[in-house]
Amino acid sequence: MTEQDPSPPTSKKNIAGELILPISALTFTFYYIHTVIDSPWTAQVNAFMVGSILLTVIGIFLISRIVMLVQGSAKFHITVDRLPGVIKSRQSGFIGLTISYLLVIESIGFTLTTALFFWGSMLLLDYGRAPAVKLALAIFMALVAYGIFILGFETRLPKGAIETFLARAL
Amino acid sequence: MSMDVNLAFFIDLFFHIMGMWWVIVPSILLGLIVGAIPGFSAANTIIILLPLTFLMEVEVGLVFMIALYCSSRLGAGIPAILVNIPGTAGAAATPLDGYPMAKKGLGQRALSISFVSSIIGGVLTTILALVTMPLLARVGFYMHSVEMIVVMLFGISLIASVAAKDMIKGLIAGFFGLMIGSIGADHVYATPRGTMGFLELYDGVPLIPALVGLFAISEAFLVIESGSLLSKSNVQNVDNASWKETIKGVRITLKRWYHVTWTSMIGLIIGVIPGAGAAIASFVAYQQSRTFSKTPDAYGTGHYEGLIAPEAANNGVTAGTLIPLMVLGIPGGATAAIMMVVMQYQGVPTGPRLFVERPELGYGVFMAMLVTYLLMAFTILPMSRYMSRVTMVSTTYMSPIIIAFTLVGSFVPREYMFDMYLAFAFGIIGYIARKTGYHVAAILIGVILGPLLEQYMLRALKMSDGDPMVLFSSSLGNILWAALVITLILPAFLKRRRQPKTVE
Amino acid sequence: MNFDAMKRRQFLKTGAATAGTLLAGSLMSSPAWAAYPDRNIDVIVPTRAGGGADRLLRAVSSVWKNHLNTNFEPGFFPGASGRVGYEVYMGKYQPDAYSLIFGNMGPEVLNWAVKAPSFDINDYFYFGRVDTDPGVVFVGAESKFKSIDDIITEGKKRKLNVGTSRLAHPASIGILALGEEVGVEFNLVPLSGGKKTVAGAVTLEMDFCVLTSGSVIAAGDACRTLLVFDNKNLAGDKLSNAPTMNDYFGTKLPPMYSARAFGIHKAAADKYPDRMELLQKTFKDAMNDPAYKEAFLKSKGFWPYSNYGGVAECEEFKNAMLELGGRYRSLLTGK
Repeated sequence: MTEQDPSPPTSKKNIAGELILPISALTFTFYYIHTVIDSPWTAQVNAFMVGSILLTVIGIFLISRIVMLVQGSAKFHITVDRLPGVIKSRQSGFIGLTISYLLVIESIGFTLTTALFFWGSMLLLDYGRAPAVKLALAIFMALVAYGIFILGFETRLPKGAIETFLARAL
Repeated sequence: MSMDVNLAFFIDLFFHIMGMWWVIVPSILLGLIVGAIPGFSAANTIIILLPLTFLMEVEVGLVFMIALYCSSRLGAGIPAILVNIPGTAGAAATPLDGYPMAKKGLGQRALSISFVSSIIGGVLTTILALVTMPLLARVGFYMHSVEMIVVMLFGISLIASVAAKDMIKGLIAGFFGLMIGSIGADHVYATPRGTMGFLELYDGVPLIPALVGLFAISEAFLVIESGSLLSKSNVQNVDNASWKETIKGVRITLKRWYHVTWTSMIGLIIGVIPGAGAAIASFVAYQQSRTFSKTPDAYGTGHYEGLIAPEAANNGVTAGTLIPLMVLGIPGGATAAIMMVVMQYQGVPTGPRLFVERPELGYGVFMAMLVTYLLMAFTILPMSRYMSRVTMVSTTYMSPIIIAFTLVGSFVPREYMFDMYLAFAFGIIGYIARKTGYHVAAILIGVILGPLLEQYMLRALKMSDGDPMVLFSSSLGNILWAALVITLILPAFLKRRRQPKTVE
Repeated sequence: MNFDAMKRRQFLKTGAATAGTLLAGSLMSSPAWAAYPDRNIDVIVPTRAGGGADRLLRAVSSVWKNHLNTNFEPGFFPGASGRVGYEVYMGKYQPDAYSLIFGNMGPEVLNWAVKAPSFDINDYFYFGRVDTDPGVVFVGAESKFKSIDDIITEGKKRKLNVGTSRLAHPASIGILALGEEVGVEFNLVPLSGGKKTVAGAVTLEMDFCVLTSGSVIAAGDACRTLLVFDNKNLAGDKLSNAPTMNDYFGTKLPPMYSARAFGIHKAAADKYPDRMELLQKTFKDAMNDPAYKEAFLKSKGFWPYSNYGGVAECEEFKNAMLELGGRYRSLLTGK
């Protein structure tokens, strides 16, 4: 696993990004503890064992970062990204497409959604080159997926017009 | 016994099963495919094909299931190495060093190492299982909850190892994972905890969405920053690779035969314990391998031994899980449980009576495993060269495929749309973690091993009416505790001893 | 974590991904005046595909479909000890007698006693029981306990650990009732599932275990049964000829069954009494059809456990479970 080094080559380290995970963890831990507060001990053991260590570690982390801020060796600055605009928009566009995939798959079915997702994301990632070729490829790949998962393994993936049509045709 | 079980019997049996290659080879191919698709496993494939299996003659049915089981284990390693998608929990430790190798353009070599260590590990443990079956079956009588708690801690201590570079952030990631792993109804009174109101989380966080989300989906989002999974110079490596790369992988593994042997033994022993499994085995093997390594810091960067350990171990588990089924009549895992259903359906006894009434089936199962591993050496190993080309595919195509493939894979085990959303959520967590310098593997170890640890812990505490001293109540447990302390201290100690040799 | 977005999409919406689409398609094709049934009937199974319920359902529906002149389409919604399946059935499917739930009246009804579901439990009822499988007390083959008396004697000396698949299970209730009867306190340890419970007994981690008898019979020689929570030990030597609790201790405990049965929305029965009548009649016919016995045996079922029951029997059992669940509520919930 290669990790991205979050610190820019400049001397001052921006700690804004690093705080996202600990703060999410902190929030979740408090929520978790809240759900077991009135429960029997068996439900609480883990929350208190794991939770207390997690809170301690996060505490140490936060203190260390505050010290860094006070000493001036780090800064807290919220920037959207350091990446060049093109790549940035491609990345968030791709994540957006994935979200759309999840949102529409139930209403229009697996095969059509998958084809549209393949086409859209390939176009996005390849700067819109050769749309017709990519469309053909996307349809082909979606049909292969249909063949494997719905026909072959009879997976109960969301069905829509295409699946109904194919089921009748085949 | 109704039949003499001697060397001649085993030799006869070997050739008899070899004669069933026409079942084994297609099953191997099917197993490879379902193993490589996340979410599919030998167990759910056998369920899908159950009506077919019922129709087969019992011997053919068993051989078919065994071949599928072994090869799916091997298949799961392929996407884990090449595209960072561990398709089952048993392959979760494989990408730790496998994927960095693939990224360096050494995918073919990594596959070859993975196949050879799987095959050797599988063959060794199968033979050992055949020879020492009655003895191994006793392991379950000694490894109870308390002992399993310590075994889990071996695996969980990996969090500290993978996080060595930045301990505090590593621990945050690991314990966040353990916290996420605590989601679900408590094992005793079924109180829902941290489920955010979702019934789908009552049984805990489903593993496949967590696995593919943290590893693969986050990776798919990241790699589009570059055009390929590989950097330019590494593309050259793949381009230039010839058969020599596969052979090199074979050599590397054979040279480390000792390493393969003892990590596969870890798998065998853990596999024998009912309810434990490949995930625990591969993490514990990885942790042990790293502890005793001379180059622990190289782990996680594409270290050969870091790939050998989990692959040898999870194939050791394969033989192990069948032992309690065959000897005691209790299935050691999901696949074994379905095999039991099939055997009962066919009127074949499981447990001690099996070896008395149908020794050719009892031993035949292990012989089928042996034959499968041997046949895989000839069928799969040559494929590594072609499979590794996958890493050359541009991210323009690769990233969308990974996303669609893993989302479907998340859906498959339970067929809930919720699991797709969950995989995406884990993808985002993984993405943020990677972008901000947290180790996703540490989160994952927590998510996978946390619930298992809790289950054993609660069982032990419930049995002792809540007395924590129960953790130190068994002699075997105490020996394991001591071993755990040693493995935690040992690396630091070894490092200090070696320090004078290297210049600060 | 980005769970907020998911939360908005309520569980019911996500749970039955295809159920909705399937229904939408089929609703259009069934005008109210068409003869019932003019399309397939969906059967929601709150457990995993490939399990015991799956096999039993196959056997029943292979015969019932000929009496009702339609096919049955199973949909498996496992999770949360059956809760997911019921929530999907009650929340997602129209009460039009084109969908049924195939559940287990034992553990699943006990669930409601422990924690009520989101729907009113009187909004559905069971109308067709298929089988009854009693809970049993058993030990591993190597256990030192040879009879239930051995257990009680030892139980008076120390608190014995009893493995069970989960607390809210008829077999757990059975052992709690036995403890009460003989004045021994047992420590119930839930082991999450039948497989692990058998393993707990066989490996001697538990002093003894309780479970539905089918899983114990399946374990063969690995286990020894000591007591049956039924009025009669129907399985005989398959369950080590163990005595029943009521015979042995003179108690009047209702049988602690795992009992699989078909259930339906109450609203469907109220709105379409003719459909309901047809379902009940054809189900009974199917159960009495010799072809059913054949199918049942072919699926390797244990025939003595096949046990037809109508609305009255099911209702009686459901109420008994609710009553027992209420009585032992504090032990089952730890509160």
